[in-house]
Parts: sequence; C-alpha cells; structure tokens
Amino acid sequence: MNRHLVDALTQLYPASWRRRYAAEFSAFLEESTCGIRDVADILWSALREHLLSKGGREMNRSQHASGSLAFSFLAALAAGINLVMTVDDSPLIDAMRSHMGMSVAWNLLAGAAVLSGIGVLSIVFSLYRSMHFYARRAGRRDIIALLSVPFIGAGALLLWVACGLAYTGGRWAASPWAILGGGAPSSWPSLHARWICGIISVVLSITVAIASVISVHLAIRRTDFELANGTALRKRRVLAELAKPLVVLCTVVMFLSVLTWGLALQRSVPSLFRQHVGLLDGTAATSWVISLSLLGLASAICIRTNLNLKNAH
Amino acid sequence: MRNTQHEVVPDLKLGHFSDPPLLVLASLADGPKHGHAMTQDIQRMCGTRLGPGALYGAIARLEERGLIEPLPIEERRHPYKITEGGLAFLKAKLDTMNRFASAGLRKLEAL
Repeated sequence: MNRHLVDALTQLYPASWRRRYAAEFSAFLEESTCGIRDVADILWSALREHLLSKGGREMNRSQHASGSLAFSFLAALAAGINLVMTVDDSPLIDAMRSHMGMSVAWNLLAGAAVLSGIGVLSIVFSLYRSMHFYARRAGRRDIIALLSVPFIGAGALLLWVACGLAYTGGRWAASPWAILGGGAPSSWPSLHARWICGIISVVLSITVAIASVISVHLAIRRTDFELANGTALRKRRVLAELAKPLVVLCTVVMFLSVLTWGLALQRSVPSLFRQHVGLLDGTAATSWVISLSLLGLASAICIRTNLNLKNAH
Repeated sequence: MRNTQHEVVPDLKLGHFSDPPLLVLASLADGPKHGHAMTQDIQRMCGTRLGPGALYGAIARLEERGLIEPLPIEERRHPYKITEGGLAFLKAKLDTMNRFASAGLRKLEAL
C-alpha cells in the first residue's frame, strides 16, 4: 500500500491507539495489497477505536441510560419529521379528517411526541449542563467543541435550506419531501435540481445526526461527572431520572400510534397509501415503513435501557 | 435457563464465536505470530480473511484484557503470544462451541 495512504489511514485512529500500534500497523499496511474493502474496514475500525478510546471515562448506568434515551429520541424525531412532512400538504390530511381511527392515532402520536420531547429535553439539558459545567471548570475546550457539534450541524442544515429558499425566491425549500415527480408547481426548480437538492439534504441530515451522536458520546466519555456536582445540577438530575420512564412510555405509544395509523390508512384509502408524497418521491407506504422502523428501533432501545436500569436497581 | 453443569465462559465482551478476537486467539494457540502470519493462518483455518482494521482492533482488545502479549519487536513487526488467561478463555469458548455443535448435529441426525 502507498506510504502516504498508510500515513493518512493511521492518522484516523485516536492518539492513544497510535502511540501503541501506529508503527507496526503502518508496517503491516505497507506490506499488504489493500483494496476498497480493507480501506472501509480501517475506517470502521478507526471510528470504533474513537468510541472505545480509553482516553475517556466509563459511563455509569444512569449516564449510559440518559445517552441511550437521547439517541433513541433522535431516531424517533427523524421518524416523526418524516411522517409529518409526508402528510403535510398532501391529500392524506383530508383522509385523516374523515377517518376516526387515523385521526385518533395521529393525535395520540402528536401528544406522545410532545411529552417525549419534554422528557428528553430535561434529560439532555441536565446532561449538557453537567458536561458544560465540568468542561468550564476543568478548562476542557475539547469537550465544549464536541458539545457544539450538534448545534453547528443543525445550523449548517438550516443554512442549506435557507440558501435554497433564497435562491428560488421563497418558492421551494430543499426538502426531500418536496420532489413530486409529477404534479409539482411550475414555479419550482426543475425535477433534476429538486432530486439533487433533495438527496444533498438527506445526506447532510444523516451526516449531522451521525456526527452529533459521536461527538456527544465522546463528550460524555470525557466528562468526569463526579466533579460536575453542583446542587442545582443535582436537582436537575433528579428531574431527568423521573423523565426516563415517561420517555420510554411515550416512545412505545408513538410506535403503536404510527402502526395503527398506517394500517388504518392502508385499509381505508389504499390509493393514497400508494401515492408519491413521501421521502425522495417515495410512496406514503414507504415513508410509513421508514418511520415505523425508526420508531421500532427507538422503542427497542428505550425498553432495553429501562430493563437494564431496573436490573441494576 | 442457564446451564449450571458446565463451567460458565467469562464474559469479556469480546463478541461472538466468529468474531476476530476469537480467531486471533485460535491462531496464536500453536505459537507466537505477527499480523501477516495471523491473517494467513486464520484464512487457512476457516476461510475468513480479516481486514487490517479488524485484526488490529482484535489485537488491541485482547492485549488490553491480558489474553495476549507482545514479544520483542522484529523488523518493525511485533509478534504476539497467547497468555495463560488467553488459553483458558479460548478453551472455554471452544468447549462451548463443541457442545453446541454436538447438540446441533445430534438433532440433525435424529431427523
């Protein structure tokens, strides 16, 4: 393998790992004929080493649970945004008004989403405050930088959407739910441009989500929560502990509501279920499956986290 | 229900039977080897080709848990040898796999 590529790939690993293995790893790579599969293997392994890096601290069960619940909420949030954007400005809204079952499931979903959001915000706020408190006290700029990644990512996403809006004079946002192969208004950009912008939005959103998860995870591992112990923070932590069962319950309710909503739609108005109003010009059914899968994942993480906490007690 | 008749394999969070750490331990069972020799031996043993990332990830995990240890460096390469703890861990895992395989084969024969 090329020396420059070997150096670049080795640099991807955490400093503590490099100190121990860089020399022999580089020698190993230089003597190997590596393909794309090996490069992907190294990228994945470097990411894994960053997550497992012993430069950080072990999380206790409660912090681990808070992190898991916040990450599961991220999946639930993505599911919710996907479903809302699919339904928004589509004939599905009229169908929901005329079908009791769909309407009840939708309202239940909205209520659970709001309650879950409040619960997660209290957990995330408590975690963020603790980490920020410690980072300031210990002069750890790396933790503050890691904590700012989700905000910078969200800012970049908003900027991208705002640029799209400004470019089209406010007529079209670079939304992956507003591609509409057939019946798009003539004032929108060309179908080709809508596809490209929609795909960029999806890739950007996924990148921001992954970067946020990794950076917050690293920030949690680098924080000494024993030192982040103010009285006000302790009170907020009690609130966060109380919020955990609420988040679990609400996530499961959201999953069941979306399941019921989709089944009712499929039974009552099957033609709408096949209409192309979903993500990247997919059908409503595809959007429903994506949201249901994400909520299923979020529910599974929540239930597992709750069981782990109960076993620990 | 957990079977209490046999020795319980310690959970060192090294993953499942087909995972790289177990393959590396099995490769080192007959003597010290460096990275290249390990990948070749593993490929001969079971047809699995370990990528460089997976191999060094496994080496790092195993060394961290004291199941293998590095020998003095030879031409930029560290040979590794399995420790007593590594041998005990490998034996326990292979015994479990052996019991599982025997039970599965008995069921198949009964068909």
